[in-house]
Amino acid sequence: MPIYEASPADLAAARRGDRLAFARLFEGFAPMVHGVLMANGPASEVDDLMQDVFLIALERLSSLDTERVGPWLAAIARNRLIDSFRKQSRLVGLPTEEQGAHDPQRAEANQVLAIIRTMPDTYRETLVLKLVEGMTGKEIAEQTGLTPDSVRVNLHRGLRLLRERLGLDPDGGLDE
Amino acid sequence: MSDPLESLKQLKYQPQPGRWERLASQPPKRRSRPVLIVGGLLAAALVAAGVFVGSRPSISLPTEIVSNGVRRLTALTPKWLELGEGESATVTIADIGTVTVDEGSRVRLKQTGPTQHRLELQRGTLHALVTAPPRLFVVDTPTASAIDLGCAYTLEVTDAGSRLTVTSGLVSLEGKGREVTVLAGMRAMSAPNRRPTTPVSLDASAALVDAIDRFDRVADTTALDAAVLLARPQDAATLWHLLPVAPPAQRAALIAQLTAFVAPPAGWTDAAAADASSPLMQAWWAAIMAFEPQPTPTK
Repeated sequence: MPIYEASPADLAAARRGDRLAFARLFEGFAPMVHGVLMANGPASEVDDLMQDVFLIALERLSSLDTERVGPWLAAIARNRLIDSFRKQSRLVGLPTEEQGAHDPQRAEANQVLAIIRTMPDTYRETLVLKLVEGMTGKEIAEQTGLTPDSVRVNLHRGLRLLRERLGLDPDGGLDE
Repeated sequence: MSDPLESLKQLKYQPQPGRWERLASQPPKRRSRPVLIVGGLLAAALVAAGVFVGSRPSISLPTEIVSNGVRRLTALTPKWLELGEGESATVTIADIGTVTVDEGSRVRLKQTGPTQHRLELQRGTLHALVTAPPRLFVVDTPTASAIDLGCAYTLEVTDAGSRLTVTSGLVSLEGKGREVTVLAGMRAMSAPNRRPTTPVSLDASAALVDAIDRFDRVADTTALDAAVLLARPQDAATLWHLLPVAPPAQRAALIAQLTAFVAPPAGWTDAAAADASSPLMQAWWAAIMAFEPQPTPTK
């Protein structure tokens, strides 16, 4: 998958408040936003939270940073999660209400995700963006604003820790 | 045994074609905005007062007039509303914002609906505070139209023309075939039978304002040279607006000065400067809007 490159025309139009241009722009960052939410929030609410992030960003188009759209959206997503947690007065852990709970593969995916959510902040988002969304380290750095070195380290250490926790060979599959 | 990490891929984001476009094309939903409450109360009061009863269906917007300290509810309709001395009016524009009209103004409603709210200000001053999709709110004046792109602004109309001052966001001023985008902290004007002027910063030097004025009014090319020399980084948006209207021979100097403030987009060619809507010009404009110049040191 190539690194998403936002259209300059859409960027300019979105900055001017063009909502449809922003919608086109958002689609390119949607996997990253989805990953950030998935790494930190309840899986069953990720779809609603994504919509919230989109609407909040729409309201704040005048503050859109055209050079750093991804980090700007990621920050909105994280703040939206904090609001959500405050309202619920609890941190949501396991996605117990997941659809497809009877699907063994999906159940396995949810279990792995639950383990990722118990990991340190620095690894969580990077791992989900890599393992769930299928983004490369370079794409993760481009879209979240992390340095490529940080992403590489987070992925290496995070994958190692995750494999340990899953009872797998810690050094297996560290290809990033 | 399969790798459990592989199973995570089924949780991947699934695109839903058109989802975000559909959502973006809906009017914005408000969260507990006071204006909604005020608007609803005003509308209810107007219906209760029989303002809409007994007359043929017509467009209107709830309006509160304060006359020497006394408040009364009325409606802004296609008939002219004239405000006398000591009078002001606050018009609730559906759920997108409010417009305050100052004393001595003459204003009317031209259109209101889901696709556009349009007022006409024939004379006087109004202050708009609007949060809406771009181009949903428009104010026509005798010399130009102010088209909201999400913002707060003041529009003044006199016999000499219209003056638009933007305090937040951005507004398009359009007329006589020219469209200028006025950013927060800038102003632009339009005179009878003339195109809107090039926007200038409110804190631009008098010499720069004079140079821009001479170029806009009489195409004085020496004034354009002066503007290039006088421009500060904060005047980048002004220089950008001059590019398409500058004589080709003077574009190079403008481009060089603007480049010194904000780098042009990758792939820039000077030929793109002739058309403000070209992708390269739009990309440069986006960079200018994102540009935050350091304040000029005061002596």
